[in-house]
Amino acid sequence: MSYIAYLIGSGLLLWALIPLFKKDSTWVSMYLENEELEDHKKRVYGNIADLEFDYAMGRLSDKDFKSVRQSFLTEAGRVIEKLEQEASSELRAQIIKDTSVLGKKKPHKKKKNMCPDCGSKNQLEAKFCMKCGKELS
Amino acid sequence: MADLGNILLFFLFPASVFTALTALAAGYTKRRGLLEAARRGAYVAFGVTTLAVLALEYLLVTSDFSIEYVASNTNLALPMFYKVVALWAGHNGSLLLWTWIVTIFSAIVAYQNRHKNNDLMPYVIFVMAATMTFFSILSIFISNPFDTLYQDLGNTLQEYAVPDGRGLNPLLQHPAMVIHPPVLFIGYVGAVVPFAFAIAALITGNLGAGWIHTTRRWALTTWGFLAAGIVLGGKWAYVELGWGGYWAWDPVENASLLPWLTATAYLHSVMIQERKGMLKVWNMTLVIATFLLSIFGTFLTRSGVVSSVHAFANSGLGPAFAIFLTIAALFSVGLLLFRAKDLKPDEEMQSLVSRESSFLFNNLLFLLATIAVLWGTLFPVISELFTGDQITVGPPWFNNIMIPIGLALLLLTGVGPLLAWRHTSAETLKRSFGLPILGSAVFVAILYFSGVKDGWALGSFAISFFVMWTIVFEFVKGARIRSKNSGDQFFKAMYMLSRKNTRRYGGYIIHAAMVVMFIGFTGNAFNSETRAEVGEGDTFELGPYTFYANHIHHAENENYSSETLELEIRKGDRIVTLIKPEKRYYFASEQPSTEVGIYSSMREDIYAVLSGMSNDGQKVIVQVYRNPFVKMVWIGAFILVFGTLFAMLPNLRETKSGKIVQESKGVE
Repeated sequence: MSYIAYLIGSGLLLWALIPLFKKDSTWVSMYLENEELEDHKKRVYGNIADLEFDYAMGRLSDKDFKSVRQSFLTEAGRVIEKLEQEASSELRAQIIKDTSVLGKKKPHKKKKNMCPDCGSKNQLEAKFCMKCGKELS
Repeated sequence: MADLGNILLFFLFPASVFTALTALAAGYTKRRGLLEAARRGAYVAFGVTTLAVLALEYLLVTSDFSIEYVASNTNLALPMFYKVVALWAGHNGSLLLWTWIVTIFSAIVAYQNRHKNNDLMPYVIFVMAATMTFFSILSIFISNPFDTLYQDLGNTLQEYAVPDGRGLNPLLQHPAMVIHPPVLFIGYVGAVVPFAFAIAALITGNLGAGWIHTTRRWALTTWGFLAAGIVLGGKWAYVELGWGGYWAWDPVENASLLPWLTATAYLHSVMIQERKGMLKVWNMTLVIATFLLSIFGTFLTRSGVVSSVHAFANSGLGPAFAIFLTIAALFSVGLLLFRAKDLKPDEEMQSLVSRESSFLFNNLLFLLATIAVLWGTLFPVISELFTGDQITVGPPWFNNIMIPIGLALLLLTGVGPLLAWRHTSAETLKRSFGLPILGSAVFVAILYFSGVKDGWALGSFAISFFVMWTIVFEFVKGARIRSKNSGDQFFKAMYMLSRKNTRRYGGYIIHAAMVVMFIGFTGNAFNSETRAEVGEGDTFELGPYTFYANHIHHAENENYSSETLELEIRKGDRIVTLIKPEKRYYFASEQPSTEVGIYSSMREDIYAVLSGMSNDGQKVIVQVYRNPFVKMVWIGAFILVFGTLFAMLPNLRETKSGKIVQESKGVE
């Protein structure tokens, strides 16, 4: 009887080990810089919904309702503005990143235009080597 | 089969260690393969533990008396049903059940989140696996349910089997006792899930509302199971222990109440974090405290520390629990302190008369209650440590502190929902509270003049009336407004209203349940009892009732012998009912037990216990209690479970085209 138990136990443990030997990849952290702002936005929206409910249920005077609602709306506006700012700054960062990649590609291309025979640099659009006259590919 | 079970249980140890280590490595390296391995580790732990539990069940059902656990907790004559549930009748089996539930929950959490929460999951699995490792050590090395019986033959030890077991403790042979431990354990163990997510949030720094949304249902489930487990324990004590009540502030009862108190505080204060971005550190503290108190509760009931500090040292379980608790507390509090600077509140409190301040008072009261219960429970241990003598604080001490706290909390359930967030003006206060206060005052006056003079009871009834009024008002007014806006019929409007915000209305249902239960608790103020020695044909009285001893008879079966009194309850000329209190003597365990006779109506319970035979053996001694409103406690518990389930339903939402769909966002 006991060997069956050993067999089941070790079989299951081996099954758990399998992923360790497979081709692996890493995940990218999903934590967003603006998660806090998104939370804040949801919170203000929730607050406005609650406020309207409380008002309908008669828990707030007209005056309180108006002033508190206004303060929530201002708060919401502020948060949305910040989110947009972050989004645009993220976009800008992305553009800079992308263009820097493009920028890096240029010298790479230049490298490609080196003469395969003598190794001297040529202009991008040149078809023959300036020095030895060999055809450039 | 014992070998099979033992070996499979042994595999739990490497499986949980493997799971914990790969999970930790996955968190550090963010490698998918490692996380998948950790996830599989959790499944394996569940698999081997399930097989071990099945093996133990097989041994119990087939009455293999070479196994110490089987021999100590069952016997041949025990009904099959009780043989199956004897899995959690004793020490070692209970721990195995605890361990099994941890592995079940770990596997469920790992599976539920297999495609999401990648950042948190490694640490969530790590925390759960670490807990699993601890319980596997207890179950395998300290109190293993597969241990066999040995006899000492001079130089060698030899395995042997007894012809029949000692049987199941008679007190445990009751249906409520059958489901009470697993229900309570699910509540205890459930606390590990929010705890694991909170710790993962602290480790990774993902301190947004994500972990709260993910664990919302787990927190509610834990809370509901704890509540149901506590009430089931009370029900069992009521019908089985035969002292006339359902709650005695016993250490074991208190142990289950403690995590429930902090969990209730958390369910309230988390709403402030969601709405105001405040109390972030406090919420983490409550989640951590609930987990630690759950472990502490298990420790309290399993180590025997309260009966004597010496039992603690002798059992082997005590020190193990103490070490685990210390490590868990230091680790989690250390992490919390480390992250405290990132958990600053987003807003400040603006007014004392607001919904958020009522939540704060609520939390303060729950904190006070927790500290009081903890202190009262540990007082015998502390006094024994310092003075050498055990000084126990009894029910009066607890009642003096807990009744005012309980009533204040009940009052808040009525006041809180009527207050608006941020600020409520005096004018609206008058409008919201005027009528319910007036209504309660009239109600109390009626009660007073009809003869209820007990101050606490009057206070409790007044508050109950007030709270019930506000709850009914919430539903009715909400439904009216909705019905006006949408044109729905009143009851459909009420249904839609509550289904659109299940948490709010589920919460109200739970508050109503608490009111009903409090009416039941208040009934204790009017309890009365009498004791009589009766022979066949004798009568005695209690209140408006006359009790007539119809018949006394003796019976015997293979499990126990019994004396039963047939007691007729009469009110005036009318026969109300016949109850049969019984005294049993169980052969296998050589223990007596009482089966109470109860006549239960909405108004009161008539509760009769057969305490024994008179000296000459001709008469029986019967103790009769008249307990008003006890039924309300059980009815309240049913409403509470319903409210909890309702709060877990997904919200309904109306689309622009008027179609009704289920919301799934943010709720797990």
